[in-house]
Amino acid sequence: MQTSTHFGSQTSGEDALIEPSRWTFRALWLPLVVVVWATLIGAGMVGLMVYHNSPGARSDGNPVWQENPLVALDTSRDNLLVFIHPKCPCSQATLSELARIQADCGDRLRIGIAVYQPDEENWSDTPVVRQALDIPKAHVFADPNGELATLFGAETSGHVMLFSTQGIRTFSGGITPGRGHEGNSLGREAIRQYVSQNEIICDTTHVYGCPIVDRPSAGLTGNEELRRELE
Amino acid sequence: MNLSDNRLINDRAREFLTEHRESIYRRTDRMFAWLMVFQWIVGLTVAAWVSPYAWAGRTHYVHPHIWSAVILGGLICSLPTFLAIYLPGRAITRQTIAIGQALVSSLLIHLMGGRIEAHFHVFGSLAFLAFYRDWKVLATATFVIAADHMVRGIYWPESIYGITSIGWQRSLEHIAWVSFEDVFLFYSIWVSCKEMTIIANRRSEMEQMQVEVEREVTDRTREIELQRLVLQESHERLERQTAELRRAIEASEGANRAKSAFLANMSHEIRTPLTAILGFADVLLETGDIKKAPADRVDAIETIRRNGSHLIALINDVLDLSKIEAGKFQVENLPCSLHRLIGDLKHLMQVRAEEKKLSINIHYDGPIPEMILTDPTRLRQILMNLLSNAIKFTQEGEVSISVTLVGKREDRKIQIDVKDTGLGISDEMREKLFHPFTQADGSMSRRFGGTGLGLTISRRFAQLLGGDLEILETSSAGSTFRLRIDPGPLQNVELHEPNEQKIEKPAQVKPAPASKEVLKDLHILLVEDGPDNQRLIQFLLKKAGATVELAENGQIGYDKATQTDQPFDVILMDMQMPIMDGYTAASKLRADGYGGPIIALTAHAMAEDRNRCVEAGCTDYSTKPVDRTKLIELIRFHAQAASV
Repeated sequence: MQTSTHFGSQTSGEDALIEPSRWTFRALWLPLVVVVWATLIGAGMVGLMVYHNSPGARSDGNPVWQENPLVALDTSRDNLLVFIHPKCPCSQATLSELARIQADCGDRLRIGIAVYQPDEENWSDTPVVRQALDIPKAHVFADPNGELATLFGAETSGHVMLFSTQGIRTFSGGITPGRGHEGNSLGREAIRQYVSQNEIICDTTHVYGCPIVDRPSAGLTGNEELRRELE
Repeated sequence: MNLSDNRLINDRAREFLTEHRESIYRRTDRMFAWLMVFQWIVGLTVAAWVSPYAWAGRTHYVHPHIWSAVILGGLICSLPTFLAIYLPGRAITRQTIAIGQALVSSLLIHLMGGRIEAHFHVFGSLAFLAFYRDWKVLATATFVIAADHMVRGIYWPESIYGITSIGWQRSLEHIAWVSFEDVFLFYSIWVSCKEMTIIANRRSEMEQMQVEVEREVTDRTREIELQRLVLQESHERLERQTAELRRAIEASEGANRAKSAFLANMSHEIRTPLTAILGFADVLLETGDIKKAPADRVDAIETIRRNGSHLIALINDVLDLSKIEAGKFQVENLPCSLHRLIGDLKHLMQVRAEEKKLSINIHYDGPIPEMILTDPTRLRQILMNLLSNAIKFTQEGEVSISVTLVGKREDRKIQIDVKDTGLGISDEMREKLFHPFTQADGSMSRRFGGTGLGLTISRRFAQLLGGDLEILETSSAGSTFRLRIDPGPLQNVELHEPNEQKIEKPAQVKPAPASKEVLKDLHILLVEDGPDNQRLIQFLLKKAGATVELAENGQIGYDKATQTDQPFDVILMDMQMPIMDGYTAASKLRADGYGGPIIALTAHAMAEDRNRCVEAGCTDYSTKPVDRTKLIELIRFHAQAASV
């Protein structure tokens, strides 16, 4: 006579002669494998989430508009300045969110997108650049060797800065909830709130993206810098 | 849940249901094995397409999403795929697949940048998992999705909901939407399982029915086989019986042939001596002065003649009955005047009636045909038998004959009632009278004579003539026999009502010329082996004036006929003789060119005997015992015809 265990292993009259330890192993090996498998996946997912939520470096020290030859302050409306790396895949989420902001704010907001352009490369036609060019009424311009980003203190692609008509920075940070991830975020809400209500609900958020320029950071992570700044 | 009231069907239905579920589990496992691999490839493609590299200024490296897609995606898909291939149908397999599918959704959404469109993968996955028709699988997947949202909502609320505070409410909201879909999927699974249960029950019932039908067919087939065997046995028995019957028929036919041969031989053997007996009795009565002979001697001679005649009549009746029963008796269809025939009979029987002081009256009820088409010989035989019986059994009074035409159109019959005033017939004997050799009682034969065959033969003759014979009524005051016969077609036959008083008396037969003159100068060869018949016939012929030569057998007769210088005018040829019979001798004579008349003499009285004689070459035929007058007239007739 044959019986079937819960996990499908076949037992017979001979099983009565099998040692209990062997029987236990035959019964539990599959659940154990599943548990190990699930644990590994859980660890992987946690690691991915950690990476996903790790902000980039930042050094946004000057809280006012910096005069420069590439873009001028529009005193008739708020100014939004975005710094992106043309090859950064994470910035596509930033540009998608930027397009939503543009749709919400319209002409009340002047958008300028500074695209990092090293001298040795021609990165003027990348998916990121094309996406930026598709945003209505956005002023897309090259930022040679990231000088403008350096001037404004943006080190991570996707860094967004909002300046009032007087050139005062009211917001600095990212507008995505995570690395390369679209969706509701504090940064987007802060910009929309300021432009529409002239109200500052949040002036700083984490920036998620690739480093704009290839240089060693100050050795501080974005979170540490932000924390220092907040202190 | 009991599927049926019948435990057998219920148990079998459970087996079917389990089997069906196993089939669904295995099929869906195989489907997810392919789907897992496909999703892994899609994840790799998406990662490679969306974020192949991570950048830092001008330098780049493989994006962590690629490694996530390869390692984490592969890890997620590996175990479900392995279990689906190697352990399909197990609960743990589909539960693992449910976990894996939920994680794949999470990974793909992540790799696709958290786009809202990517979230449809979650709902699609749940719908796909519903293919298992196992709510526990959906529950597991939902649990994983809920856990994912809860963990993210607790530790990374901004990354998933865009808020910094712990996202309990948003997590619960997301879980609620997933559960919302689950409600429909659970309901769908419940309905589907219910239908599966019904299907299993139907299959079980059908299987049970099929088993019963097969059993019934088997039983029927066995019964049919038994019936076939019984039929075969019956058929074989029937064949054996048929064979036995055939042998019996052959034996019967053989016996019938033997009986016919016996009758023929008996007839021949009795007729032959009777020829001599009756003939010499006649000779005794005719030769010498018989009137001077003592009365007792004459009476003795008359007794010999009467008993001889009775014996002849008996033989004739037996032969007739034998032929009738053998179906060989054939009646003729000749024009016949009915009233003349009845008149002749009246005159014929008048003598006997007057001996008993009886009168014979004829009465015609309405017109009758002038001529009818029948066998007059047999009709005469019937009527004579009826009249003879009526006279025989009537002591006083009368015998009346009533004739009428009855029926309409095609079914018209001649009806003849013969009524007597005799002693009558008892009821129990009415039908027995028509059985062979039966008379009213045993003493009748002694008192009235008769063979007991007359009425039997008469009824058979009546039936052969298209009618019947029956006893119409009988009492102590007398009996009435009714004869009906078919008169034949009457379209052009004139009907008339004869007046019995004016019935012509039969023409008086002219007295034959004196015997000595009849055969004068005729040279006759008599071929006869019996010495008694030789002497008798020679005596008769010589007495008629003929010259007679004798031959003892056919060979001698043939020799004499062919070697004589004086040809014979007539050859009388007995047909049954030793050495050479009459048939051979006649054939040889005809073959040698003898053209004179050859008259066959035979004791065989059957009709076929006459035909056989004619076929052998004989001119005519005369039966034994010899009727002297007829024989002499026959010889005279053919001698004259040959001389013309």
